[in-house]
Amino acid sequence: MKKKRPNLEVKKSLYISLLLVLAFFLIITTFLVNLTINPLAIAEHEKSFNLEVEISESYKSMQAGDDVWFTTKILNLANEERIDIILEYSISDPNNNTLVKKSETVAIETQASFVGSLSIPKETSNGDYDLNVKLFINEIPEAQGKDSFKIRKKQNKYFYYVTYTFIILIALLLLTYIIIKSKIILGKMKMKMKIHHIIKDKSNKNL
Amino acid sequence: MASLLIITSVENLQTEINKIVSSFKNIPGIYVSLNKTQKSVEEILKKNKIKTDKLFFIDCVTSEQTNEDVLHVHPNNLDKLNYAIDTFIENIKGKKFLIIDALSTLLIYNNENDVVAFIKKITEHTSKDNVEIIALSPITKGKELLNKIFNFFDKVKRGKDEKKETKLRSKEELIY
Repeated sequence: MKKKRPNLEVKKSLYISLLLVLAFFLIITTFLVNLTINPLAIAEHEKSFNLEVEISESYKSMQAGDDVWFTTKILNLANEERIDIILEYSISDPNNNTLVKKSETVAIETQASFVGSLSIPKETSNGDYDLNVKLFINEIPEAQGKDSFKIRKKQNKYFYYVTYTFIILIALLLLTYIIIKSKIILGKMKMKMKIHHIIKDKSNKNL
Repeated sequence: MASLLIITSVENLQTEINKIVSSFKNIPGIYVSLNKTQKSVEEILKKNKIKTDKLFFIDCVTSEQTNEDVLHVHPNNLDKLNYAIDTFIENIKGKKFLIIDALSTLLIYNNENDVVAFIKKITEHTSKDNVEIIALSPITKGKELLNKIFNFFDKVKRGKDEKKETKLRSKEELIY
């Protein structure tokens, strides 16, 4: 009876040790899995939408009071079913102050392209500005993009019309003057030649 | 060289012209004809046995070119007429004379001040060029014009119709 006791205690110790090792491996494995899988999942979530904003070249230089037109391209990387998203458009100055903001709800499946516009406030001063587009799903920002444009001094269109009209009128007057003068000069040259001919002819006859 | 303004009756105008042209023997002359065509002037002069071979005609009556040796200028274009006279004066070498027959006709086509300016330009040739200027005008026409242009001429000759005599008068006598 006394010989059997140590065997049982050894076996018990071995089981406990094995359980401890297994528990340790389980803890380690769980920790490692948490370290690797969770960041990947977050990254995947952040990159589920790709958003690009593009202002065409003709709208890169604008005047206060004009409308800036742009294209928003959205790519649904998660490739989920049709969902409603909110697009928030805003114009901000170099100090990040928002001048104007507008949002709209659109439906998207895998990818979509939207043309939007924002009115630049009339009192906006000259300088470089950013057009920002943010994509929200259930009020959570999912993606954003931006493009920049310039605001230049507003030119008076009437000034150009008056200037061009004035230049055209001056050119026409100048042209008319040149034509009249050329006619007079040509007429005088013709007359001079004729007089030369008459004098020469008379002189020859008198000889 | 001198400039002379002859004011006479319409009837005596041609007689005066004949006298002037015949007095310039072998001297080339420029004849500005405002009353008659070059053809009729030449015929009248030839009838009076006056040589016309040294006369250069500026015909302001006929618009059509009938003779190659005649220059046609419309009397309403005083600039052109002045240019034609200038060119003739410049190109005829030596002593020459200029007859304007008759000044008052210019008033039909131009305003008085333009005619005055034209005559002033013409008379300036006497001091610059070797040219004698004789301008004729009927006594009955353009009295105001004549009053304005007296000063431009060195001498003014006024014909008396009744006695068919001419009396040379200074311009001072005519003005005052």
